[in-house]
Parts: sequence; structure tokens; C-alpha cells
Amino acid sequence: MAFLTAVESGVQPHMIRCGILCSPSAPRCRRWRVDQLLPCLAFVQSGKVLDQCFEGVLFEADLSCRGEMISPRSMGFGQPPTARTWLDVVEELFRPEQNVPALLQTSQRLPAGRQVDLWIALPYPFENQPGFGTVRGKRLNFQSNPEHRTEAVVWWMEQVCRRWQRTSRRVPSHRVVFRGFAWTRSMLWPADHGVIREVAEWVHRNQLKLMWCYHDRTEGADSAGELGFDLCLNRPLLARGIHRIDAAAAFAEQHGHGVILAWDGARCPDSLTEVLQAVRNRIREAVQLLELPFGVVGQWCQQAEPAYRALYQYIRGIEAQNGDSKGGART
Amino acid sequence: MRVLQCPTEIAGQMGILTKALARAGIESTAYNTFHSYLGYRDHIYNVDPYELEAMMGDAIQHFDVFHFHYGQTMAPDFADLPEIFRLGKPMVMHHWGNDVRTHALASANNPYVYTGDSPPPEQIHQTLTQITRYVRHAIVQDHEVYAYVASYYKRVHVVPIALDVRSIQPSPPSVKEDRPLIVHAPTNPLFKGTAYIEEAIETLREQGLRFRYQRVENVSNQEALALYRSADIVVDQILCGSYGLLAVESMSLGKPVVGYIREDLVKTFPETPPIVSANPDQVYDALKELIQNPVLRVEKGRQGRLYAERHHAAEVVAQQLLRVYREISNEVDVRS
Repeated sequence: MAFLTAVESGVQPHMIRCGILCSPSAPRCRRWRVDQLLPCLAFVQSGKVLDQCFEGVLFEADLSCRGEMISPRSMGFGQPPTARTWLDVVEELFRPEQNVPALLQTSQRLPAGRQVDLWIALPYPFENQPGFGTVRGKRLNFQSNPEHRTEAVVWWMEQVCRRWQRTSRRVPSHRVVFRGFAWTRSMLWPADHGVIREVAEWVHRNQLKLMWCYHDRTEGADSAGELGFDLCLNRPLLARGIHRIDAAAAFAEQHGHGVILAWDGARCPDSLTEVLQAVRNRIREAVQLLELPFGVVGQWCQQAEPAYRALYQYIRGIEAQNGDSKGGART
Repeated sequence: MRVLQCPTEIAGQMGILTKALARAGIESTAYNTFHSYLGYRDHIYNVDPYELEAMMGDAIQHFDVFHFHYGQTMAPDFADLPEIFRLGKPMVMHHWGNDVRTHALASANNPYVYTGDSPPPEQIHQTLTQITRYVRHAIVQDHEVYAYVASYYKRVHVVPIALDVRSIQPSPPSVKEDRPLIVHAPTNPLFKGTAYIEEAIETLREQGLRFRYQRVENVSNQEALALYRSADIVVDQILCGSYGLLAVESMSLGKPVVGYIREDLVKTFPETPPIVSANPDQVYDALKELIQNPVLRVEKGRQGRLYAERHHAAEVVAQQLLRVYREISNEVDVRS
């Protein structure tokens, strides 16, 4: 077996995670505008686009600004969300001039012939929640009716698809391909299996794909394809050091998965450049998702930080001329 | 105050305490990485160890008090403790028994005790030594567990097992029942002494005593509670020398409970537990007496309910827990 590759999966190989709204560690609201997205999607120097950088974006809402939990990574850090919260996430994704609309605009500034993949992370239906609210005239109770969890997710995907159709039509020359949704709960909790299967069926009926992002060593990752995932991406815990990458890469390679590199200078002992150097020849072929702190790429670009060039060179597969291992140093 | 509890749900305690703390106005979140057929789901988040470890950075920033259970923390090698300590956030470790029970110490006061599920003594010592470099306070449910950890911590608090007693409608045994139902729920038969219990039951049956026996296992905690409701006598654990959740649940239902309470521990409880104490040598006699005496069954059940309300009601235990949280928070304030 080999890594999941772009050719095999029909998706672009390098994605960046764009967290929106709040996160458990950052209470300020994150919104992606063109000026923040452009340095991620393109290699920009002195305000000029020189080449493409990331070829895909995963938008994921973590925590609402009222402190309601949306993504699995917000589990336990806030209050249970309602259908209203989930609708607010759709609104936020398609807020004019930001997030998806900003992505559509940004894509127009890419070098000719280049496209960007759009992925959207699903909100997680927390199983202990009794009162989720009313959806299609029906009151949903995840606690007493587990099947309501699937109904809620399918309903949400429909809202997203409807908004995508409407919004993308308004920017006829955009170069964004809506690829599908991401299930970002790592653990394959038994009560989620049915939800995932039905979500995958819906996604496939709509000619989209379902991606799964998981932590290295998660039980059941070797047979996750049976649940209907089209892409599985393995995330080593970089906060424990670069050495975690090798085992995760080996597992991903063995099972035809891709890799997630989640780096945060405040928490990782190694600089981003060191991480990229360590994986440069190891996972070159793999479909991969980079998770970086909000706004850091734009900041590096603006300040002409060596980490920005290193990131671009890594993505484009260009050997670094003079490797500066301090790039993207701990902050 | 935001409280984090993790990573092991033992006897439903993290969930029960989280709910009780919420009623007292305290924000508490519990993560459980130990998933068993008991199927605990209420007021906890079931996660796996990798999810918990990945959340560690955010959790350390977000929460104010860290309440760990079963000698474990968010990271497998206690990698979270130095950072929490550095930030001056209060921590407490809740030990439950099998995580710290060494055979040498346990058998000194109790020839019946089973410690086959405990880690080797060297490992227990190493774990406690590692934890107590950063964690100065521990919680135990009673003085049976107290002895195993007392020498390692600055202070060990005794906080009894909690149960939402108020939500449990008593279901006392009927004085008219002439074929009482004995229920035993061996989550771990070797630890609970199931073989001795069933040997006594077999002898009583051979002697022609009229009773029924049901062994409850491999069902969820909710299903088990429904089964205990129909019992006339409940047998808890007869080797360890103290009582566990089954006894508390059964007392709350108003059932008479058989279990072994070590003689030297009786005075360490806030009052004498109304449990019919019986070790393997005494269980036959204890059961026989309860089978033959319906009035005693009712009376023991009545006493049990009152005892559970006074000492195990979640709101009572939550107040004790809050006192511990305040004490460890004040201590950290003084240190910093």
C-alpha cells in the first residue's frame, strides 16, 4: 500500500485548515478575508502573486462566539449548541466578503489554470443533548432518539449546499471546487458509526466526498473506509515532538491514508521549518492537511519570514536553497 | 470556577459529581477514556486517550481546577502535570482502590482481600512518586483506600461515593415475600468474592431454604439498577473490607445489603454503615438470617436508605468536594 495521493483521490494534495468563529484557547472570533486567504493560497512577495501555494481549504467552526460547542475539538469547552447555532455557522461560512465568499474572490487572483478545493467540516452532534431544537418542523432530541443526530447533520449539509449554489453563482469566474465535507471527530465512537454511514451515503449521492481527520493510533482507523470515508488523514501529535511523525506516516502509508501536520509555535517544541524538513521526503506524495494558528501565514508573508518561503517550497516540492531552521520558531 | 475531571469513569462518579457540581453552580466537564459494558454516558464526554491528549493544551488553559481519577491524567506519562503546576492551577488525584491497593498493605488487616487487579507494588510506588511531584492532595472514598496513599500526599481527603439518591425512588422489600430474591452483580467476580457467595447460596439451596438468586452482569448500569429494584437482598463485595457503588445504589433503593466491612474500619465511617457485614466465612450465616427474617430485611433496607441520604447523596458529597477544591485553590494562591 502507499499514501493516499492526489491523483488517486482526485483531490488537491495540500490543504490548509481555516478555523472560523472562536476556539477553545482563543476567544476572539476568526474570520478569513481575502487578505488573509491570499498568502495561503498563493506565494505572495511584495504584494505580487508569484505562484500557487495551498490548493485546498478546510473551513471548520469550533466554538460559537456565545460559547456553544460546534466541532469535536470544542467538546467540553462550552454549552451544547442548538439548530439555531448550526444555522449561524452556515451564515458565518457564507458571510459576505469573508470565509467562503472570500475564498471565491481569492481564487480569481491565482495564476491561470489553478483551482482550489473547498472542504467544510461538519458540526458534531453531541449525543447527550436532549433539546437540539426544531428542524423541518420536528423537535430533535439526540439523547432519546439517536437517529435525530443523522437527521440534523443531513439537514445541515443541505443548508450548506444550498448556500454554496447561491453564493458561487454570484462569482462566475471563481476557481473553487466544492469537494465535500469532513468528519473531524477522531474517535470512531460506536454510536457515531450509523451517523457516519448515512452521512457518507448522502454525500456520495450528491457527488461529493467525505474526509475523516483522526489522531494517530485511533482504534479502527485501519478499517475506517468501511464506514464510507473517501479520504482518511492521520494526525501525529506534534506537541510531543517530530519523532511522532514517523509512526503516523508509516501507518498512513500502510493503509492508503493522508497525513495532517498540526503545528502551533506556542505548543510544539520544534519550529515549522524543522517539521517540514523532517517530513519533506517522508510524506511528499501524501495528501496532507496543515493546521496552523489563525493568521500566522499572512503574518509571515507580510514580514517576509523565512517560514513563509519554507512553507511554499515544501508545498511546491522545491528544495530549500539555504535552510533556516529557525523559520516559524516557537512564539 | 471551571473544573476538569478525567480520564476514567469509575462507578459513574465523574458524571454524578459533574451533575451535582452544576447544581451547585460550578462548571464541570468530565472526559472518560475507559469504556466498558456499563455504558456510562450521563454528564461525561466519552473520548479516547488520543483525543484527550490532543485537547490537553486547550484544557490546561481553559480549566481552573484539575480533578484526576484512578492515578491517571490527560497524558499517558503525566506530561500535563508540570505545565499545570507551572501555571499554579490546583490539582487533586482521586484514587479508587485497585489503582493503589498493594497486597502487602491490604493483607495486613484483611486475609480475604484480592489484589490481583492491582498493578505490581513497584509500579504503584513509581506512579505515586511521579504524581506527587506535582499533586499534593488526594481524594479517597474511605479509609480502606486511605492507607495506601497517605504516606505519599501532603493531605488525603475522604469523600464518599456519590449517588443521585434523591432521584432514586425507594423500593423496599416486601415483608410478605416468602421466596426472597438475592441479587449479586459481580463486575469483577474475583474481587467481589463471587465464588464464596455462590458457594453459600448453593449450600442454602441444598438445605431447602426458599429463595431465588440472580447474578447480574454484562448489562448497562441503567439496566442493572432496574434489576436491583426487584431484589429482596443484595450482596455487594465480601473480600475487600469496605463497600462500593452497588451497596450505595442498593441502600438508596431501600434494600438490605450484605458486604464485608473490616472491623477496624467501622469506626472510620461517619456512622456505622447499616450493611450486614459478612466475609467468606460468614456469608452463609448472614444470608440465611436475611432469607429467614423478612422483618430484618425491611429494617436493614430502611436504615440503608437513611444512611445513603445522609452520606452519599450527590449534593452532600458535592459540598465536601467543593471544600476540597477551595482548600487546594487557597493553597495554590498562597504558594504563588
